[in-house]
Amino acid sequence: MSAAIDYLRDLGHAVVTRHERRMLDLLLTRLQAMEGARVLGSPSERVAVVSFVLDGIHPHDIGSLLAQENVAVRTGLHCAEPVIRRFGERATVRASVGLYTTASDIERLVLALARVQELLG
Amino acid sequence: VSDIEALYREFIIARSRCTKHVGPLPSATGSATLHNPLCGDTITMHVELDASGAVVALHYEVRGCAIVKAVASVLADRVTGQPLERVRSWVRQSHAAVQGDERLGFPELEGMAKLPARQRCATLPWDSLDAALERSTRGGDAP
Repeated sequence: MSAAIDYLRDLGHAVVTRHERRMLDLLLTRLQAMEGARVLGSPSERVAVVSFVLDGIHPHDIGSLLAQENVAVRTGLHCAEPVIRRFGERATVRASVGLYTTASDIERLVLALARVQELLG
Repeated sequence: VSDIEALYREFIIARSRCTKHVGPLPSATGSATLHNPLCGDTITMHVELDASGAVVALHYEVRGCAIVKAVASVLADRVTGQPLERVRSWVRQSHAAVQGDERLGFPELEGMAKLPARQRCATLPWDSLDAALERSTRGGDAP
């Protein structure tokens, strides 16, 4: 824990935040450009987490197939059933980015999603 | 192609799209709806038992993932026309079957052992069948 705190302190909060913001913007851009994908919500401020759905494909099926490509996402109601219902969905896929996320990780997610669409769409 | 993708390609996708037993069943002698609050899936199972206790018809209505739909489809084919006691025996073994136990003789269900996080998707149809049978044998709960 101490080493982790030292590491983050050495990097600086601004560096971490800037990287997350860059990765988040890339993730949103790539998802919004995908045919059949819909990102939930458009908040003025967003932490580095994005909930989305693919038309006609259940999030749990997406999650299982992404896991096989070593892409880890969370699927389901995320302990937030009322807000998921508010968006008219029964479940969603949730991807997050962080300090260790790279642009190629996001491309891998997008490619894996396209493969899921090809299989189940 | 991964094991999981092969399972989807070889079993789940085709079965989940089968509509042979999908829809309401006006002649049902028992119906039950189960919901999985973790993922939002819901299945309603309708069964019709005859005087001898055999399952003469089974229909289901699902809002859920491909696995719930695929397992419900396999279950419906397997159970229709079978005597109640045999069906109840399969219901009792179903949770073990989706964990890979071969006793039930459902090779497709055994594949679910590769997806431990999705076991509930595969047992939900069986549990809803169990509840529908219970209602049917208690005197009926047709929709």
